Amino acid sequence: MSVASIPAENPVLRWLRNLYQQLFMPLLGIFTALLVGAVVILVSGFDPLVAYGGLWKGAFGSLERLNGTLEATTPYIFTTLAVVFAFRAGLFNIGAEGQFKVGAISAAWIGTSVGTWPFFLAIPLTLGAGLLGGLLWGALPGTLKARFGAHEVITTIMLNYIASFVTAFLVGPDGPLHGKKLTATEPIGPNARIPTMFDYDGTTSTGSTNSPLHWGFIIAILTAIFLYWLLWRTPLGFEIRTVGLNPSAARYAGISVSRIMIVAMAGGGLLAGMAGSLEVMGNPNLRYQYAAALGAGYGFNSIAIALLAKNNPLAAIPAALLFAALQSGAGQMQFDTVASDGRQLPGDLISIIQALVIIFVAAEQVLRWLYRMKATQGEQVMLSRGWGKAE
Amino acid sequence: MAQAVAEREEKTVSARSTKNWLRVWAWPLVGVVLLLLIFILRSITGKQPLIDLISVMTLTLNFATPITLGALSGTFSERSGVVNIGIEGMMLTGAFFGAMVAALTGNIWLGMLIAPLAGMALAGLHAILSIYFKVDQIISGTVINIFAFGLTSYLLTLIFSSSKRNQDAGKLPSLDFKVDTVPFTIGFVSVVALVLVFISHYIMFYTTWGLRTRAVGENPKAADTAGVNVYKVRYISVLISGFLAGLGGTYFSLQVVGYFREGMTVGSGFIALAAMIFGKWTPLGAWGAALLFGFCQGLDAALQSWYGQIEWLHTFTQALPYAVTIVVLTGLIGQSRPPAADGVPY
Repeated sequence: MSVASIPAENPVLRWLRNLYQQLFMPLLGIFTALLVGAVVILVSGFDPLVAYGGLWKGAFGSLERLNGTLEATTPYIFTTLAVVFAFRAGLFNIGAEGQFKVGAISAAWIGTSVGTWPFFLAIPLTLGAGLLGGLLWGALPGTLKARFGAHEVITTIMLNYIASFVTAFLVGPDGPLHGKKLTATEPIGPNARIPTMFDYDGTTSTGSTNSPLHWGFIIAILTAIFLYWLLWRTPLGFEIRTVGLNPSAARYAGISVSRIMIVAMAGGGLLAGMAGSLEVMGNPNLRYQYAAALGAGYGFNSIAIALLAKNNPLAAIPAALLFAALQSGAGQMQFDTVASDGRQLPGDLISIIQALVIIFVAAEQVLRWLYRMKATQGEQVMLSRGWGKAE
Repeated sequence: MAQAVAEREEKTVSARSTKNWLRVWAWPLVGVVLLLLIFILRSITGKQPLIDLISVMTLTLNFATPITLGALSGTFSERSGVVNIGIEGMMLTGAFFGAMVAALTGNIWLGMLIAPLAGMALAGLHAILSIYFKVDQIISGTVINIFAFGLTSYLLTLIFSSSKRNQDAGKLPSLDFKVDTVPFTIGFVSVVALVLVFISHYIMFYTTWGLRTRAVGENPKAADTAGVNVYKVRYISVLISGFLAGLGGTYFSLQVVGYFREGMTVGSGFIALAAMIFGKWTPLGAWGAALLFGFCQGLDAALQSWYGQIEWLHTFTQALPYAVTIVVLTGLIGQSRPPAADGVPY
């Protein structure tokens, strides 16, 4: 309130103006990406309007599609938060995929054993196992970084591979967690499952009476809000952000940098583990079991979404929704968009659009150059500080 | 804590001067010991230990090829101060355009020529984004990986109307030889990679260009003051990086199978990054690390053909190189220090 000379402004108006300022560039970036995508579609000999219409229809066209898209958004929100949380401490967590897998298989393992217990025991135990698995898998690279200076980018990539091999063995033909058929665990017991939110009364085309959307979606949104509060309203959040902005200054101020590094990576692992366990516990399409391929692709997609969200926990929600919508709508887009000679538009177009969205949103310089806008002094995303030891 | 780090570094420096011979010869020694162990194992349990040994060695060399080229690619880029996590995408693009051109023209050598150029084109994008626009290099690399996956899959479906594989492009020739009527084969790309390791070593440490590259990667301002054109060195280094990565992609499409499959590089670009760090940003070191990764893959394949599919052993040999990399990064087996200006825009 020290700037008394500025005349009082309607707080609602000010809030709207702030919102506009924050949203203008990202929306322009998404618009530009779609525009460039339309040119690609046109050059390939298809109608962009039909393609985007199909994309929209596939993602949001019916209640069923909307539910599917929101379900797909749920794990993305968590894994994105896993990247964002670690990044706020200056750590680049590429390990969300491995943490997801370890969390999911831990939940599936405990869930099959305690699944017939009363739900008020079964659900916390199953979820707790998943969280613990993810937390440990995240804390390991955090500790290696804090203790030995081993760069988290490489250790988390390595741990992703190890998680993928080991979980594949565990559910494989000789593995101890192998179910009755296929490379998957047994389904978890009925009392360890998270209920779905809506019931279609048997009206879906697939014959399933339940929408895949489960209460994990609400937990995801609450978690994003909680993380925002944690990072900007608590001493721990202040410490994390200080370490992220300037580790030397943080150390000088008496913050234990190694403790924060371990906390940030363990927290990231916990969030990714939550994504994995909630997928196993809540998503009916996955049959409530851990299958070998589960979790593949979440690591790098969540980095892309985190870049899109500019490492803001709240922005992670719409960013995850955008990615999930693009993926959910791709099939319908391919199906609807047919050229005169009968060829279909390849659904992989959405990967190109995703890459364009990240360029234009995460690298604002390119967008400003494109529209001949003046550069402003904004918060620059800075991830690459070399592979070496933290100072 | 800072004091402890300083003490540890002091200790390693003193160890360096006294045990220099060990530092140079430790890894080749490990390789010889591993091969000896296999020879002994096969002498006891197998019939033809020597042939089994040659078989492991050729498998190692072949499996190490894309990782070697990827690690060399990363070494060139990062020695000039540009972090390149887009190697995977550049490899994939090289693999695709090589196979596409070979399939469409029927000339496999034309495909072989186009592949590195396709990698270079993508590297050019990385260079413009990270050097001209000063976009964070990790963001730029991530974009390149996603873009390459989308572009190759999109064009594959669009041009060949089959989402899984395209027409046969034919395979590159290979060095075939027989030991005791047992055939062995070493691919053309593997031989090229081997030659490039030594050429890269020579360029990096025995030419003016190499010295300039390293200077720019360590301290661009000082290099600039001394009259080195920092931008030029970085642009060319990133383009060389793309060239090598694109060449690495041809191993998958033109050498092994003769066609392109969606996402066929299966993360080799990231393993190559680890090999580059493992190899301390030197061409010979990167090659050694790539051989270790290739050895584990080759051993895995060999063990399966000798003893059948043993699940736990399969998992163990698969995961071993990744675990070793983590141990190496902890500094228990010597420190790995990146170029000082790696990742910092100039």
